[in-house]
Amino acid sequence: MRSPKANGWQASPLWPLLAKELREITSGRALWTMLLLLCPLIGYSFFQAVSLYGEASTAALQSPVLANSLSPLDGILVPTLGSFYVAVTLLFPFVAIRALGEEKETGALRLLVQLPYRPATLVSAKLAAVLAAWMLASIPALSALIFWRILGGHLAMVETANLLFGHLVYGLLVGALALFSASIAESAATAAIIALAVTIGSWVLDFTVAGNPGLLSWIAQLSLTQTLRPFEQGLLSGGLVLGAACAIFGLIALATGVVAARCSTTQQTASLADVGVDHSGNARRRGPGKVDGRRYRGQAKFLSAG
Amino acid sequence: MLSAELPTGENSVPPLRVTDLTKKYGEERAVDRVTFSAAAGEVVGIIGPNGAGKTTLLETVVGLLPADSGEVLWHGQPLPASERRKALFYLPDAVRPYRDEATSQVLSFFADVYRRSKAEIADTITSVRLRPVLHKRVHALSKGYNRRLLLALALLAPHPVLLMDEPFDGFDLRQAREIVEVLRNQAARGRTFILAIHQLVDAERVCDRVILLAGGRVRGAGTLDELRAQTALPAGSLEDIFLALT
Repeated sequence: MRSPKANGWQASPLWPLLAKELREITSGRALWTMLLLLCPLIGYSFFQAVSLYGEASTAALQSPVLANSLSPLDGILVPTLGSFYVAVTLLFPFVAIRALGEEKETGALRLLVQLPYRPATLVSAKLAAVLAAWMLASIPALSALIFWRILGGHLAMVETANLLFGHLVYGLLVGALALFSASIAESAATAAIIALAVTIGSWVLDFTVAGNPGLLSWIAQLSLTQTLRPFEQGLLSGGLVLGAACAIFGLIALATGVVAARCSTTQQTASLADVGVDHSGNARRRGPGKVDGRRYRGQAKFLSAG
Repeated sequence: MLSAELPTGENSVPPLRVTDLTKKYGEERAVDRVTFSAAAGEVVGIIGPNGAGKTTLLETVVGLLPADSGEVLWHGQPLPASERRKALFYLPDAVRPYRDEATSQVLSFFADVYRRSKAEIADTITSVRLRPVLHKRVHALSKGYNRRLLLALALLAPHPVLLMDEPFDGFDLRQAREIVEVLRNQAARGRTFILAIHQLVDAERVCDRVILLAGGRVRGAGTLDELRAQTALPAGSLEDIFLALT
C-alpha cells in the first residue's frame, strides 16, 4: 500500500517522448547544415559519376567486353553514395550527439531521467530520432538515384536496396557511437572529438593499413569503413550485419548504462552508530487528522494503486 | 546532533523521512548525517549559505547522487534509490530545458507524459503566469520566466513530494510573493515541498519549518518560533537565528 511502485509511471505513453526527440534533433542546426552540405556534395558526385559512366558507355559501344564490365552499381550508386558516406562519417556525429549532449549541457537530462521511462527507453527513443535524422539526410542521395531513373538509367532493386541497407547499418553504427560518446562526455564538444576520433581514425586506418599482410590486415578489418565494403560489392553478409548489430546494441547498452547511473544510484548501506537526535521542539506540531485530510490527490492515487 | 524530525505519535509517520544521510566527496563530508522528515502538505526549507550542502542533500535524497550512508524512508519503509523517482520529483537549479523549443511545447511534453488534462495544463499555466510567453522559445525566456516554466513542469508532475533547488532565484519581490502563493496553494492540497533556499527572507515567507544547514550538518531545525525559543532570540529574524546557530 505504501510502495510507490504503482504510480502508473510504466504506462506513460511513448509518443510524447518520441515526438520530443524528433523535435529536438530537427530543431538543431547540425542536421540542416549537414543537409545543406550534402546537396551540392551528392549532386557533384552524381554528375561526375554520370559523366564518367556516360563516357565509358560510349566507349563500350565499340567493345562488348567493356560493356559487360559496366554496372550502375559500380558506376553510379557507389560513387554517389560515397559522398553520403563521407558526410555521415564527418558530419552525422554532430547531429546524433545533439540528441543527448544538448540535454546534458543544459541540465535537462536531470529532468528527463526523472520521467517515468526506463533508461533503455530514453536512449532507444534517441536512437529512433537519430535514425529519423539519417533518413532525412539520405533524401539528397535518394533523389539522385530517382533522377538517375528519370534519365533512363537502370537500377537493380535488390542490389540498390542492399547498398542502401549497408549505408543504414553504417549510419546507425556512427549514430550509436555518437550517442555513446555523448553519454560519457561532459560536453557536446568533447563527445564530438571522441566520435570523430573513432570515425576518422578508422577511416585513416582503412586506407593506410588495408592491403598489408598479417596483423595489420586484421586491424584494418576493425575499421568502420569495412562495414560498407561488401554492400558496395553487391553482397549481403549475414556475419557482418550481425557484427554491426552487436556493435550498435553494445554501444546503446553502454550509453543506457551511463544514463541509468544518472537515473538511480545504488545506495551504499552502512550502519552508523546512532547519534544523539533531538526530537523535541524541532518539529511543527500538526494534528494527524489535519495532515491526512489534506493529502494531495495525486498522492492518494499514488498510494491506493500500491 | 540536531535533527529535523516531526514529533512521534499516533498517525504521525511522515511520508518522507531521511535518516543519517551522509554524502562524501573524497574525504570531505558534503552532507553529514542529516536527518529530517516532511509531513504531507508541509513546506520544509533547507536553509544555508552557498556551499552548505543543500543541493547535494536534495540530489542524494532523490537518488541522483549515491549516498555513502543513511536511509530514505517512504511512509516508514526504506525507499531504494532506484524507486525514489516514483515518489519524489526534483527540480534542479540553473536548468534551461529544450532551449530551441517553444515554451508551450515543453509544457505539453511533460503534460502528455503525465497524462494531464487540458484543464490541468491551463490551471498550471495560469497559476505560474506563463501565458504571455507560451509562444516564445525557451532560450528567449528571461530568468524569471524560465524559473516559472520549471515550476510549471514540477507542478505537472503527479509526485506527492517535490524538492526544489532555489525556487525563488531570479524572481523580484512581487514575483517571489506570487510563487509563494502558488506553493502554499499546492501545499494546502496536501503536496509536500522541500525547498533549498539561500535567501532567508524567502524562507521566512514560505516555509512551515526550516532546517538550517551549514558545512553539511543540521545546525538547527523547527518553526521560526521554535528556533527563536532555542536561540533565546524572541524577536529574532531567521537571519539572526542562523548567525546564532552557525
